[in-house]
Amino acid sequence: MRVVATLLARDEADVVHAQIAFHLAAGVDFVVATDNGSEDDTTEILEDYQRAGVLHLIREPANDRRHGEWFTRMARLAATEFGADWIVNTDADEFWWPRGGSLKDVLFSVPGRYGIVGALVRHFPPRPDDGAFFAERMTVRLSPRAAVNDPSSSFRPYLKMIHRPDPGATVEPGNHGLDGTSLRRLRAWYPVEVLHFPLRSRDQAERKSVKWIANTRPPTGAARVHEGKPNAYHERGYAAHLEGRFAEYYASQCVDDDAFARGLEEGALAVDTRLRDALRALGAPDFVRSSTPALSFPLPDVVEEAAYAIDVAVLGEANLVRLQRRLDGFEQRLARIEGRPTQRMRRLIYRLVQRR
Amino acid sequence: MKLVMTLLARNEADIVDAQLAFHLNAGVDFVVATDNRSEDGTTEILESYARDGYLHLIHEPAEQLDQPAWVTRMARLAATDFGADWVLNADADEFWWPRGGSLKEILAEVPERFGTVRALLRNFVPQPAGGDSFAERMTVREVPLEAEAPTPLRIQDKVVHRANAYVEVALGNHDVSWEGLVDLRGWYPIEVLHFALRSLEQCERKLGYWLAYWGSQSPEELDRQPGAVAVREGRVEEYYASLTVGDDVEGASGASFVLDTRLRDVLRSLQCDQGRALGAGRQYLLPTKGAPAFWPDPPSLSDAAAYASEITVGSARDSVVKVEERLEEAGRRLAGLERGIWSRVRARTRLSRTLASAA
Repeated sequence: MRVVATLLARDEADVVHAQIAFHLAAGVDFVVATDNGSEDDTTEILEDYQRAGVLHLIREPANDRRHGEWFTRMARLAATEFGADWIVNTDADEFWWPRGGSLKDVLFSVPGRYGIVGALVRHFPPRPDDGAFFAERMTVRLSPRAAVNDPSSSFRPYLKMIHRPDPGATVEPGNHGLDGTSLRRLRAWYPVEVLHFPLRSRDQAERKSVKWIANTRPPTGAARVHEGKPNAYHERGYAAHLEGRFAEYYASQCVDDDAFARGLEEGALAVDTRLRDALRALGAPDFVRSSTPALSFPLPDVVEEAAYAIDVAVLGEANLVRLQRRLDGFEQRLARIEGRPTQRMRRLIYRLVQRR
Repeated sequence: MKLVMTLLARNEADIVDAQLAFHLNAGVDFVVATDNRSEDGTTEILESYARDGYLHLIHEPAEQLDQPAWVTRMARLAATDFGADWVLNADADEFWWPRGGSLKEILAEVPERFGTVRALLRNFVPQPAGGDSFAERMTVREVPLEAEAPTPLRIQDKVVHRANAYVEVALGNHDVSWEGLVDLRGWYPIEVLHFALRSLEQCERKLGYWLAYWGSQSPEELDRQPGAVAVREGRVEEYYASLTVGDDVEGASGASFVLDTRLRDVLRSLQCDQGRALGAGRQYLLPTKGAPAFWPDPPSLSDAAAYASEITVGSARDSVVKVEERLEEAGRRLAGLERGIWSRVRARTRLSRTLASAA
C-alpha cells in the first residue's frame, strides 16, 4: 500500500523541511509538491527532496490562489503517476499525526468500502519568538472546551480529509472535503490528528498576511477587513501591516507566559510536546541524518481516547452551528437567483397561466 | 463513583445469572432489578443476589408490559435511594462491554457538563439449541453492512446516564431525557453484546411478549416485524431456523458475520468450582468489592476501524448527518444554478488547462 502526500508551499522555509521529514518518517511514501512562487529557501528544500527521489515538484508561479485546482492536480498526479492508494493533502504548516502505528497502519485498517477518513485539526497558537526552532517553542495546544464559532478565527475546530484516489473528484479549497466524489466517508473515527502551526514568528506571520491579501487586491491604502469571513485574520494582519503596527497585532495573537498559565488552569490550553519530541528524534532543526528513521506512534489508552472524544464532540456542536450558517447562506443565494429578471418573468408568466 | 445497573427481567433464567455476575465483575457496584411474573427460576436467582447484598428487587405483577415506566422507576430509585453517580439500564440479554478499560474508568473521564455516554448494540446470531449455555453456543456476531430504515425495534444506540431523580427512560432504553441534559455524542466507548434469541422455546416466549406489547401499542409496527408475524402465523420454528448461522459464517444479504468469543471466554474465567454452594443454581464468582476482575485491552487499529464502520452504518440514521448530506447536495445544485451555462463551461475549461499543465 502506498501513501502519497500532496503539499502546497509558499515561503515556508522555516517549516517545510521538518514537514517533509516528519511525514516520510510517519508512513508517507512519496510527496507531490507545488511551489507557489516562493521567494525564500523553500524552493531549494523542495528541490533537494526531489533529487533524493522522494518528491515530485510542480512550479506554479500564478498569483491567483486557485488552491483547490492545484490540490486537485496534485491529487490526480499522485494517483496516476505515483501509484497512491491513499492521498493526504497537506499544507506546509501541518503535521498529520497517526493515533497508533503509522499513517500507513491507520489507513491500511480502513475497510475497503470507505474512501474518506476524517482528521481532526489541532491548533498550536504562537508563543513569544526568541529565535528558536518553532517546534521547540510551540508546545501548547488549544483545547476546545467550548465550540469556537468565529468563522474568521484561524483556530476554529474543523476536520480535514484523507482520501483514496477518485478521478472524478476535485479537492475543495482548504482541503476540507472532496467535491463530486463517489467515495464513502467513514464517520465516528478520526484516527489522525493534524497538528497545525499557522503562525510561527512575527516575520513569517507578516509576510503571510501581506502576500495573502496583496496578491488579490491592489494596495489602495486602507485595507477593508471583512469580519466574519473565513481568512479574515489575514485581512486583519494586513490592515495592521499597512498601519505599521504589525508587531503589536502579532503580540496580541501570542500566548505569553501569563496567558499560558491562565489557559492551563482554565483548561483552554494543553501542553503538547509530541511534535517537538518527534522532530528531535529526526535530528531537528537541521535534519542532517542520511536516512530518515521511522517514527512509531503509540495507541492511545482509554483516558486519552476519552479526552479526544470530548474534543471531537465539541467539533460536532460547532458543526451544527456551521450547518445553520450554511443554510442561511443558501437562503440568501436562493433569494438572489429568485430576484433575477428571467426568474421574475417566469413566475409572472406562470401566475398568468394559472389564472386562465 | 458508584455505578448502578437497572435490570428488567421476565423468565430469563438461562442468562440472568451470567448477566449479573458479568456486570458486577465489570465495575457495576449495585443492581436495582424488576422481576415481572417470572416462573422459570429467575425470581430465585434475583433473590439470591439480593440476599448477598448486591441487588434490590422489585416484584412487578402487572400483566401488561410497561418497560419505560418500570425502567424509569428503577433509574430514579438508583439516584434517590442507592446513591448512584451513573446508571446503566440493561436487559437480561445484554452484556455491557467496556472498550479498553473498566466501565468506571471510562465514565470517570466524562466532563461534568455531559449527562450521557453512548453504547453500541452488537447482535449475536441465534444458534441451534444444545446442552450448552447460550454463551458457549452463540459466538457469531452480525455485522450490519447497510443502513436499514430505523424502526423502534432496530436501533443501535444505548446510553449510560448520570444519576438523576427526574430521568425519563425511553422505550428500549435507547435514550433518556431530563431538563437541561447534554448528550456526549459520537463516542461509543461501550459495546452492548446482545443475545436476544437463544433457543426455540425462549424465542417463542419472547416473541409472544412482543406480540402482546406491540399489538397494543402499534399494530402497523408489528406487521413490519417478521418475528411477530411468524408467531401470529404459527411458524416460529421455521423463523428461528432461518436466523441461525451454522459453522459456515458466510455473509447473508445485508450483513456479514464474525466469530466473537469474548463473552464466552470471560464467563468461562468467572465460572466457580463445582461444589461451591452459591445457591439458586448460581455459577459465577463475584469480585471482592470495588475491584473489577475484568479489564479488556484497548482495541487495536483494525478493531477500531471495523467498529467505526459499524457506527457509520448506524449513523446514517443520525439526523445531523442526514441534514449535512442534504445541505451538501443543495449546495451543489445552487452552485450550478448560480453559474449559468457559460461560466460553467469556462470553469471546466480552466480546470482542464490547469490539470494538463502538470505534465
